[in-house]
Amino acid sequence: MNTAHLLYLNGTKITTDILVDFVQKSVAIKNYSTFPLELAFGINLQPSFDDFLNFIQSRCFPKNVDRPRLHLMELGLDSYNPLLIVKKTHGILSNDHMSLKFLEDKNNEC
Amino acid sequence: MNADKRLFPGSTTTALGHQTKYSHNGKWYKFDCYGYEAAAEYVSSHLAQYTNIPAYINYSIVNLPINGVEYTACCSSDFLGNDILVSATDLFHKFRNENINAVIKEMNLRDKIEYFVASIEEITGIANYGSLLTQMLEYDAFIINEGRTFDNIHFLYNEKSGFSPAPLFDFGDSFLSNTRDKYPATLSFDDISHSIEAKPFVPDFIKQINACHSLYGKQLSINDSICLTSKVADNLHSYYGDYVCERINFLLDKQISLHRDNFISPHPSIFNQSFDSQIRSAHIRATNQKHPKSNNIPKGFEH
Repeated sequence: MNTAHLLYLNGTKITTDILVDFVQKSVAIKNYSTFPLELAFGINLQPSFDDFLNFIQSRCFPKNVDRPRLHLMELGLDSYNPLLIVKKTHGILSNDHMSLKFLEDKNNEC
Repeated sequence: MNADKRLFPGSTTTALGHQTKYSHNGKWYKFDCYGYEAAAEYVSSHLAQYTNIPAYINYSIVNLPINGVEYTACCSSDFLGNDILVSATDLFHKFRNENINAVIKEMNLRDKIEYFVASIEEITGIANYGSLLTQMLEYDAFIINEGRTFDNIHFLYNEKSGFSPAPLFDFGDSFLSNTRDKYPATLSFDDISHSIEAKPFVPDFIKQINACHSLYGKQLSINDSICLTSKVADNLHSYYGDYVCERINFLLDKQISLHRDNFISPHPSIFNQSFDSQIRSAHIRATNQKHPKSNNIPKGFEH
């Protein structure tokens, strides 16, 4: 994909609106909360593309997890790609109430 | 539980740690990865009842089939309710835009600990956090827990009540459980003891807790009747056999000798509710009675 538009949510409340340009490797965000814990990038208001990749990674099971094939098989994936994983899982983890919603992708190739 | 293409349909996992873990139907499961992590978690949670640690997670051991193959895991209740669980790493990242490991890297040990404690108190509003940290690190030293990274120091957050320390858990890297890569069964304790590494501040357990003591005083008390009950030893034996049982007992005896300073005689008000006279009288050195020594125990791990 060339660009993506994601919402980071706490339950049903939007906390961070994220626009990513994969060609320019740039990220633009708008926060809808002042509480850092529920924001995608905390107090960082100008996240870099690497910050975005780290954020997406933080919403996945770890790359070095034991039995990775088991996790990938459950998601219907054959390789570890954090962006594809969070598209499947919506970035939902056991320890909080946050999730990710993909609004649109342009040029849908990951 | 059925062997299924999906282990737990509808389950979720976490972004931390190398162990496969799932939360499902009010239970958390963590699978053995490098050795006997579930045994370590189970024994450590059992031993915590002999201490003055205010809150800790109880674990059991289970076998779960995945695609027809049985794997051993530890199991605990989901203690979160409506709370969320957040790591120290995440707190520094979200509230300070800092990588805590990088920030303290060049500091001396005392400064590392003071910076960490002051920051946690400022971010969370938790008072006297230094005492809690000290108690946790003392217990980690006692059970030889090598897994206490900043990812494994946890806090609870609730919109109404704010932050609080999480009950103590994540003991899977204790009792030299990594038999696959680090502490193979073929080596004696003397061969492997030099590889033991504390976390999160320095690799030396004693230096780390001495620095905490100088800042916040001693915090951990251990009842001098501490042992593995026959029930715990039986469970260990049924899932892991003689070797792991003997190895954990050997290490526990060694640690009891090493940490005598933390031991006190029983006083009912100090220890947890599980520690009552009825249970106390039932505590027997189970391995002596139930599990005769295996002929396969390597030198150095024998009693």
